[in-house]
Amino acid sequence: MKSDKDKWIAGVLGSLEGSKRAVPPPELFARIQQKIARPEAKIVPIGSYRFAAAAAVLLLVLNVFVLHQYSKAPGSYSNEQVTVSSESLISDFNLYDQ
Amino acid sequence: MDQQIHLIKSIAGQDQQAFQELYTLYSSKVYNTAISYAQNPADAEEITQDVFVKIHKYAAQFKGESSVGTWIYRIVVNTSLNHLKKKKRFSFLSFGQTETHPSDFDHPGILLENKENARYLFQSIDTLPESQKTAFILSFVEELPRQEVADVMELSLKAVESLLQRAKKNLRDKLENAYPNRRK
Repeated sequence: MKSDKDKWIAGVLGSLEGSKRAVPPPELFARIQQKIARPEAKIVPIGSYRFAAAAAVLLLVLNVFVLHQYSKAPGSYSNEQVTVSSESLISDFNLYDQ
Repeated sequence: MDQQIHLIKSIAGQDQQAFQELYTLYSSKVYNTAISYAQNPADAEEITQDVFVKIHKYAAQFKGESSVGTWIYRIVVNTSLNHLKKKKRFSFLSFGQTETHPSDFDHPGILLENKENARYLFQSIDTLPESQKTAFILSFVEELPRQEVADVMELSLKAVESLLQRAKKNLRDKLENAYPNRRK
């Protein structure tokens, strides 16, 4: 005795029975003729360029992001801060004392 | 058979009437096979278009080593498989934005009472490896004799039988997994 599952599977596998062939739309032949009549355009394989373009865009975005973060960061240095910190370094370690 | 070889020779000689005759003979066979692979009418039209452009372009190279039908089916299978590969690559690059999901596909030639079941069948066919898919489509959708399937696939009859057995087993396994989630 077949289970419901087996019946369902048999039904699915047998679902092509009595089917007809699918027919293309009537205008397809005219489109094929047009394509044949058209001078063949040289196809440039863009697949490989796509990866290069994606990599370039990614690099650009990363650069912009890093520059943006750098300019926003509280620890980014102005000229004044650099002078102050180097002065304190000199005094802290008595660099020029004899 | 000789008549079809004559048609191909005429097409090679740029006879548009012969091309139209061949289109009338083969368009539904080509389209029906293509739609079974692509599971999308727009893609099937594109494949059919490409197949007939190739027939027109390479008619002069047809040597008659196989029948015209076998030669044309071979072109359809290769064009369909290449189309699927190209589409897979493209959908990977467009981050999975594909227009029609195969599970939504309704084959236009299926009887109305079988439509729901056929949807599950085509969904499972779509997951088969290329050679099993080709053997199954040519044998059960196109209903070609096994020997012709073997000729199209350039395999032995035994190899085709084995592919079909594996295809059926895989389909059964996939359907068993789909059973609890089927629409009741």
